[in-house]
Amino acid sequence: MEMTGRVLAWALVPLGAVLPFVLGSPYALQLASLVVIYGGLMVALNLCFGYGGLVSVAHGGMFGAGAYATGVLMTTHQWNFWATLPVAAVLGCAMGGLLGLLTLRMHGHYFVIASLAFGLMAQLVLSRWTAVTGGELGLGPIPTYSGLPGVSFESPTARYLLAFGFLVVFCGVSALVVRSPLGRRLAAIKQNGRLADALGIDPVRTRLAALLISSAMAALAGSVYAPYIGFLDPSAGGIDLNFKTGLALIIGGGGTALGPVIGAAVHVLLPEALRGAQEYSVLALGVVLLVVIRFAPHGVAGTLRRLLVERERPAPEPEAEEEKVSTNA
Amino acid sequence: MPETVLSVDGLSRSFGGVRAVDGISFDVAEGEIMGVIGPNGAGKSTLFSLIAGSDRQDAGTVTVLGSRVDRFTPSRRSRLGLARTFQSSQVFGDSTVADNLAIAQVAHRTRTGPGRVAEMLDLLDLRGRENRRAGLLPVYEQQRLAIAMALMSGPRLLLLDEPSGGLVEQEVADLGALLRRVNATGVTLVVIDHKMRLMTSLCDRILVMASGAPLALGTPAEVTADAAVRAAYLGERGEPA
Repeated sequence: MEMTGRVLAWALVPLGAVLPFVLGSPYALQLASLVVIYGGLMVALNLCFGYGGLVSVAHGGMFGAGAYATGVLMTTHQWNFWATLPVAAVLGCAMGGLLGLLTLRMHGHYFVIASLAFGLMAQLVLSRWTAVTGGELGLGPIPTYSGLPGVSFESPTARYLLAFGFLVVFCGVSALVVRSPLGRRLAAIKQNGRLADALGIDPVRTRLAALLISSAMAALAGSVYAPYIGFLDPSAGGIDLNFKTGLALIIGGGGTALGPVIGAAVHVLLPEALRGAQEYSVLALGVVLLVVIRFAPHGVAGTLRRLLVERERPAPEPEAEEEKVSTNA
Repeated sequence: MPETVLSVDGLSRSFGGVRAVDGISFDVAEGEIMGVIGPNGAGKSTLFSLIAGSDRQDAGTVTVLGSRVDRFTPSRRSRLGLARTFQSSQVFGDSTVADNLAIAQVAHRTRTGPGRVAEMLDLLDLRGRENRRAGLLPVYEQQRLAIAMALMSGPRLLLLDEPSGGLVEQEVADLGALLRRVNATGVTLVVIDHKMRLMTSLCDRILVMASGAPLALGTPAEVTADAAVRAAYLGERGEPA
């Protein structure tokens, strides 16, 4: 099944690459671009939340920090977009490291609350550090992506393809991490933390490593967002974003390859579907969440995976069943 | 003279007004099989938690292979050569047997080579079960898998918390032989269990606990003959099942 899921996920890459050529309108292309940009944030969140079981309500803050780092450097200091990326990644790592060192000894709900406080602090910095961020008035206009030799990112299609390229890289990094010894340790802690600890897996170090990688990815996704959108205000890293992306990931399916992309589509397209009734978008997200929890508790992608596993699992061997009865008797 | 693998000195732990472990001291020599028995609530599992590091003592020290480990996390103690299994065998139920062993191996960053998985499958009679989901295995196979996982890192000391829990008589006898095989590979064992027949046939020495305190420590013959032990634990029935 793992193989089937991976093949299915990677089969979507060429589909995503040709999408701008089949979409009929600039509006649809803009929505698709936002889906792939927020997809990057969702992939980062999924590594932490979905695969690591760390329910972070701070990744929106890291996304905002990355967006502002790129926005400020490109706008105020005329940096090349590509040169801002290492700065954003390091900033994201630093934030993730600080969050991890302060909170990773906490368990369950305590970590959620601590990460929420961290997310709120990030939003406060973005809105109150007016000399750098522009505060509530915002930051802009931010120039579009700097070109590469022979490649320009002026057109909407090129901008979409650039953002899509980043999403593919984020997915690739996430897949590598999940399949690495770090990913196995992370999964073990999520499945049974007490057993993993007893086997020698250090929960704090393992989760810190995952948090660092995931925070850097979230900040880089923010870097991709800033030149695309052209203007930033504190809501780009606000607490609202944290909750909405978290809920969207649950709907999409945490701990799966496709869940972040489905979640990003929900995050972007649901409010668009409710245009003219924006005040109901959070309510609609809540309703969708309730429906998903009731009928697909592992999210859309997680439930599809379970259905496939059930179909692929061979019938139990009679000998094993007999043994089970005898030994459990 | 064999090296002291585990040294417990004056270990105590209270929960509110209850002294769950009260001044326990003993040494375990390399290659030894040490048993810990006592009625329910005697503090055996709390003692294991203190030795393994999943709980912190109020007083006393724990020394593993010459290192004071009182303030070490369970994972750090594990990297030092101490492994444990839990009461009601704990495995990664959603993963296959092979994946469980692979997880146990990556926990220690390649201290053991690639042949270790095959070695453990043979030692714990798990051949042919590699692709089964661990959570669906019969109880005894789960217990053997839990032991195999604990051994993946090549520990010097293994703590076994009620390994015979949920097993039928024939399986208990088989478990005794299996633990002796494990011990013969150079792993020192400390075993908590209620099955007296298993413990007296398996252990070199037995510590008897009652209400958190040590009641007796000696060879199986010595503790089963001890009047205080018979009164407090074995009672009139003699040998419990």
